[in-house]
Amino acid sequence: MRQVETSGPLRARRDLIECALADDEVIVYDPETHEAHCLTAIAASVFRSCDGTRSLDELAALLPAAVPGALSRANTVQLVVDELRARGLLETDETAPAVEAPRPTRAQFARRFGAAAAAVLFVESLVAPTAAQAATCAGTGASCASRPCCAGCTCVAGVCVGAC
Amino acid sequence: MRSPRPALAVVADYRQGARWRPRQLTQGQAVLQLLANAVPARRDPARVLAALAAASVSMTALETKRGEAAEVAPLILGEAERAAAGLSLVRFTTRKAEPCFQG
Repeated sequence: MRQVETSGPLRARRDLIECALADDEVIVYDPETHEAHCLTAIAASVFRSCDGTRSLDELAALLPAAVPGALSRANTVQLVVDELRARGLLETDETAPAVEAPRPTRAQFARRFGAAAAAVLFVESLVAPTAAQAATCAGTGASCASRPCCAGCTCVAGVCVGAC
Repeated sequence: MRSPRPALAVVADYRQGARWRPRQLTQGQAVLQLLANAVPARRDPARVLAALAAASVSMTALETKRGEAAEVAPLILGEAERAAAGLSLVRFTTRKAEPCFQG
């Protein structure tokens, strides 16, 4: 994955659906892509502070004193903003100059700063299912490319064959 | 009359020979897993998310790889009994009155 560095104000997308949960976690649902993202408390704090008026430095100043591992506030905010941006949760400024730089994977980050630090910074995501995806098994004649055939059928050349 | 609320959700993908090693999910992780099985979310995400957030309050959510169904069924029932009795270690006990909104 790549990151885009920027020093201008950051704004969370306003068409997203937010859902506040216990322990300050937030679920954010993107109605365009049907992706849902689980923001940790720190990620949610940064996300909600992205109101279009604050720079990275100002966002860092809003973080609580205790940030995970050996990370500075500035590094923490940069990582979270990279994560939010990579998942399309921030508005993009087409006029701002963007500089692409290598971005560590979660595994690389965990090796360097510890799994606990990764757990409190990184966002988990999934896509809401379509009806076909939600079906637990495929019936006679249905594709078995992405799900198993129901009992009584066998997957032959990508199609469920038999009586099921 | 109040609707009954689930006490336990178990996310257990089958893997041959896997051992039962459940880890506790956070409420957010639990809601994501429930959402992965909620087809209406595409049509009415705010309502579905609000329902899942409400359903996951006071719920224990576990994730593990599992072996054969016959082996894990008693373990899941044991977890369900512990969860229903309030003996699980972690529960999601706080929730805002209006948890979901747009922008």
